[in-house]
Amino acid sequence: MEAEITATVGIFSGRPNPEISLAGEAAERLAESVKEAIGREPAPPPAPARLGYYYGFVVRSPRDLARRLGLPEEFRVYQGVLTERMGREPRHWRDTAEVERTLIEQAYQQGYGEMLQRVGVDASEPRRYDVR
Amino acid sequence: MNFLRELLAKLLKAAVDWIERCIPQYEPRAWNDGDGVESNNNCYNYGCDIPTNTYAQPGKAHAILLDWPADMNCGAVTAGAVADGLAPINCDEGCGCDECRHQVALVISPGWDYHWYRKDRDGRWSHKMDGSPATNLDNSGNIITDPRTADRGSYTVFCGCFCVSKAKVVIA
Repeated sequence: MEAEITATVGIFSGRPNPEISLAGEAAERLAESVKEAIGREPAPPPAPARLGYYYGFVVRSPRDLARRLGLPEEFRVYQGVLTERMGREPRHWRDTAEVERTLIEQAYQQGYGEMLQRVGVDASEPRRYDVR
Repeated sequence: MNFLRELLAKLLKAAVDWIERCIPQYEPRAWNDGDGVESNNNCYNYGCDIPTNTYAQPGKAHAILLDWPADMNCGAVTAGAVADGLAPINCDEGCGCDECRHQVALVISPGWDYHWYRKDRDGRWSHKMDGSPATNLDNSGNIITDPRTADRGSYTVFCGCFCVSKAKVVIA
């Protein structure tokens, strides 16, 4: 079975959040965008999540796939900021490669468009999700 | 006289400490590790002060599976929580001190989701949204002194308060 990148869509508080998966070319394209953004422009931390609103993606890759694609095993993206961890310390980078937008579009394609609209994310309106 | 006053103060403090040992302290760092604890525990785990790393769901430990979206209402989520051992109480009366318990509150975004708050040792309330960091602030950035009046976004329905005895409650 092909290894996949999984991304949890932050929309619920109590219920388990939906998850999307990216494999093959989609995973490689995402990895290229992430590598383009990480290390480029430091950013302040994103604003705290608010109850009842979209609060970004947590993206995870199995270790082997992460190594092959040059990705962190886990990172977050929210409000146009990518967050990776070096131990306990978070490092924030401006999402200059539209990683968040790519993930939102993927979530729409994988059937979570209605849910995202309910929490204020419209894929047809660029940067609508970037609420800062 | 001074000796008696000091003794009474010490006894009073010991009694307060004994009662308060059951109430969680607001220590967000314990939950906000940026790793497994933060990512794998939700508002129900945080409210109950029991990290299971399973995104615990009310009732799941007792074979009650909440249906989405049909069960996203006070009745169904309360039934699951009660099966897990949470005890409904009057929010203004609190959990008393005859048992080792702390207080939590349930709110609902109708047909969408549920959310829990917990009352900490400082008398204020805190919460944790799914895999996000724990906080004692509401949506407007205000410290939560009462979840009934906090800015809760779309979680508009206040269902009520419950007592959690960590020795008796089982969640999964």
